[in-house]
Amino acid sequence: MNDDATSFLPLAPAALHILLSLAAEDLHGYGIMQEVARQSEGRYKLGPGTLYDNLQRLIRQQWVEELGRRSGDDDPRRRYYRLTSVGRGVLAAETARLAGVVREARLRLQMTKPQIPKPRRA
Amino acid sequence: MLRSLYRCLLRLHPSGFRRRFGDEMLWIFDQAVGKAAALKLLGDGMLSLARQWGLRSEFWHGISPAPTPQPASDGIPSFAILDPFRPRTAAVIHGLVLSTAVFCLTCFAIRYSWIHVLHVHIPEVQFESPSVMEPSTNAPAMPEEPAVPSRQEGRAKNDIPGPFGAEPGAEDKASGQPPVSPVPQNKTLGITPAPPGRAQVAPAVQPRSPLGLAANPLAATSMPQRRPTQLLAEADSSEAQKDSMFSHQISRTTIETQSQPQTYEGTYVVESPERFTISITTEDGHLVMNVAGQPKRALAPVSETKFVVKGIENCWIEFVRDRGTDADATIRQLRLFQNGQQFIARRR
Repeated sequence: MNDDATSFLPLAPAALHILLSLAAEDLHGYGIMQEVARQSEGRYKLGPGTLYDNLQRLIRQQWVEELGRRSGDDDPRRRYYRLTSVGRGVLAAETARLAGVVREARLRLQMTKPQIPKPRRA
Repeated sequence: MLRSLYRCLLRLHPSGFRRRFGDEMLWIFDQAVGKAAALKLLGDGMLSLARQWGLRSEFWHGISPAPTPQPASDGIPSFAILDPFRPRTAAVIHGLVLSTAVFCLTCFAIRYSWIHVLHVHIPEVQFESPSVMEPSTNAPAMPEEPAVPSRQEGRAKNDIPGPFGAEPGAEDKASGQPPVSPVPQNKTLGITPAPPGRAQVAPAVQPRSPLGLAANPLAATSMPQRRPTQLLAEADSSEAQKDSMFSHQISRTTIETQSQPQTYEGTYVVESPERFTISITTEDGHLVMNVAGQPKRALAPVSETKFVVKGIENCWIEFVRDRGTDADATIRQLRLFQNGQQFIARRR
């Protein structure tokens, strides 16, 4: 499974954020948009066109499944989406890849960190 | 207003996308607060529209799950079929442009190639009904069998250099025959070689007229040396020997169409920068063309008004009547076609 998942990496930012927003709970489209904005602290905002374009591709790849409408919801137009086990595996692989990138970046940044001269004793 | 516009945008999306996500996108638009947010969503909708039609052709008719590879059971490989595939629009446009370019290139190469392997000359021939084809004893005979240049003759002439046709003795060289022989070489074509003395006297290269018609003493000198009855008999015997039903029909057609050759007689003047005169006369009941400074040429009819100039490749004459196709009308004009050029000569 891991080998299959790594063949799709790296993920596009929009796909990564959508998978990440669905990792905790099932959300509808507008909820995904809100969650992505919250995760990125408002720096990355998905429009509905981009969101549903990515969602239809994720559904086709069976990383996300559509749950349909929920009973008792206030608006019948809302549909909920859930991360599948395949999608979760892909997200885990991408997270591991990003963790490696971050670790490597930190190492490199520490090596090139400018040496602060110690104060001389009087 | 903006909502209606956004709804129109959603309606323009591919049906599969619209059915699945259209309501949700409209609901999200309803959640937007303020005009700026609505305009932003409108822009996003336009981008989405372009993206769905231009780049997502596989989703035009809905989402079908991607095929998942089936695991092999007991070491036996399993097979999966491909899902329905529709090429992308960009790929179709590329293919169209590429195909058009290749087609144009091929046409250009055929048109301007220096290797003329596709040069096909199809003479215009009109066939008469079987009743007309029957031999008629009253019909005058031809000094030469008025067939369109046959395959053999055409092949010999194609070897001849120069744009306007035969050099002296070229036909005989091409057919492997000696240039002059007292015995008739080709009865089907009705070509009678000239006497040895005359052929030897003929210069190697004949002077050309303004038209560039190369003289062919073979054809020019052979015409008046046969009696019509003798020629008709020769034509009949050659038809029996040959499997060429085609030449048989042509010869009979010729006899029918040349029943009144006197109507074509006269002097025709070509009003081109190189002004010259074409005389059409009758010899032994058959039409002969005479251009100043050149030997006489026999005319072999292929229809009532069209004639092949014998001895010159790709040379035709058409007589134009005063009132179109009216058979009783006077002939006022002559058109000479040679190698794609046309000369109009008015009757004097």
